[in-house]
Amino acid sequence: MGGDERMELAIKNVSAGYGRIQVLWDVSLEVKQGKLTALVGPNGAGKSTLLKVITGFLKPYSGSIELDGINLTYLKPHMIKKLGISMVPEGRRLFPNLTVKENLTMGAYFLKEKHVINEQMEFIFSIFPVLKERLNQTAKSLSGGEAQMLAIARALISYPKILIIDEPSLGLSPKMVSLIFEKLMELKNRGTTLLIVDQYVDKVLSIADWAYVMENGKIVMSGEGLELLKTDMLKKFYLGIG
Amino acid sequence: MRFWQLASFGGFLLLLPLILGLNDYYIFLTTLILLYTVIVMAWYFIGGLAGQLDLGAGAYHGLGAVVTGYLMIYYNVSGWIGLVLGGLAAMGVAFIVGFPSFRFGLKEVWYALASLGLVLILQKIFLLWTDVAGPLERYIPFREFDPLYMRARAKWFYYYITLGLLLITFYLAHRAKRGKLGLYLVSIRDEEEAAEMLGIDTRRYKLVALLTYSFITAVTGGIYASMVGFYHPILFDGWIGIQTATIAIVGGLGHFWGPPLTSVILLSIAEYLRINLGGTIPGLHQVIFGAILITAILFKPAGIGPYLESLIEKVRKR
Repeated sequence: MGGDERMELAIKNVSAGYGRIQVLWDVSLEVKQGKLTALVGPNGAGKSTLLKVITGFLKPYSGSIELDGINLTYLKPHMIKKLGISMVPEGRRLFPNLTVKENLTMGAYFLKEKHVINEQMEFIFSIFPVLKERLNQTAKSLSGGEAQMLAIARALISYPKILIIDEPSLGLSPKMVSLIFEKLMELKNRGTTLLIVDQYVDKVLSIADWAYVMENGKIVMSGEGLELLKTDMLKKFYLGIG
Repeated sequence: MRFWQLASFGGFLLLLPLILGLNDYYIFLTTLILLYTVIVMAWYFIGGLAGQLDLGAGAYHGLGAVVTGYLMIYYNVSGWIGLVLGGLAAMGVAFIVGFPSFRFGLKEVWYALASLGLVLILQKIFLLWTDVAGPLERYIPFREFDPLYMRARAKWFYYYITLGLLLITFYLAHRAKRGKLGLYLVSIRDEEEAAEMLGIDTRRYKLVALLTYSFITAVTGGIYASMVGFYHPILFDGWIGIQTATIAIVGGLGHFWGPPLTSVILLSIAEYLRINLGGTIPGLHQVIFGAILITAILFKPAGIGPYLESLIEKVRKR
């Protein structure tokens, strides 16, 4: 990894779990500015637990999480969000009875000035034009793909330093998955720093600048996305080929 | 059109005591129904918007009655001031209970039970606290007509106070619904963790909802005490909270005008049944009331408000 790149998020030697059941064992991970970082691994590897630790919903036993040198480890979730870590949760978790606009307004909670909110709304619509058409529809009336776009938009509107997306392709048709990945590429090209967890290992690795493979609560491999995709182990375990 | 509808409805409410022939008994019953409707409307904050199944209305109602009544009797303090102080006292208790509840994530049935428990605890405290309440009624000094002291023989006086409170509550609830507070509360109700993830201080807004609800509910207690002329720990009545939540659910959980409308209708029916059947076969009026509730929930589980809304929609489309 290049030494002169500005570090964004650094997870250092994190061990965490639920009560006595330890899930994460000495996990270290870095997300660099402007890059797309992927985290892959089988179910139960501890990916979601790691995301909970990063966003402050679960406090680690030991280790630290730093954003540009600021220690986030013991901050509350809303402080972590305020400092610039936005997360799109698994299953989207939209507010079903609120409109698209209201969902976006919720995402812009920390933006106080109206013109900033409007600018960000326009930015969102330039990436996801379909949301502009659906502005006054309730979130529960959206299709799966639209709902995922709204979930991403809701997290993106606050102008985060890092956008974390948990399972963006969950429950979507293959066509919609391709569309979502196109949008993720677009976000990356616009300079958004991304950390993505997904089941479509081949897809996510092919767009990732750097990737981590997690198994049984440990990071077992890391490298450039395309390089990792070529390794035999990954092919065998996650792609079922070779 | 809309203006005339509102104006005629407002006129009806204003003239209702005259329509009832200035009959104190009927005005008293009407005022009671409106008082409980105010509680249903106040519950919109904590239950409808914030989604907490609060059953503790009796605690705040009783507290408002005791504080207002006690100040009127022993310190000759005007009931108007008593209403405010009673409301503040209720907010204090709500804060003491609500802060740890929300801090430690108490919700659903556990929150419901805790809020109901508060009613019983306060009732016991005031039964034993004989300096303030105790097992005997405390009577508020009689005044023929003293609006400054907030005491009058004629019941229409209390009718108009209650009507004013109802309008204020409606206004506040409507503002909350339309504004940011409503947005935050609904998001907490529907997806609490997602709201927290977006940086919403969920505890703070739940507390705001609880405090608003407790204040208004306490004011209803103060008005009640002055109207009946006494207070007693029996006003810490668990039934009030259960009635409020039941009406709000039958009226349409989270619906704006469904619950208060249902409250007026159901409580009127309940009073009518009680007057006409209560004397002949004891308990029959409650059985019938229960049957009405069960029928409503069985056939319209979303509630009366949403059902009427869909009916209105259908008529408009024709």
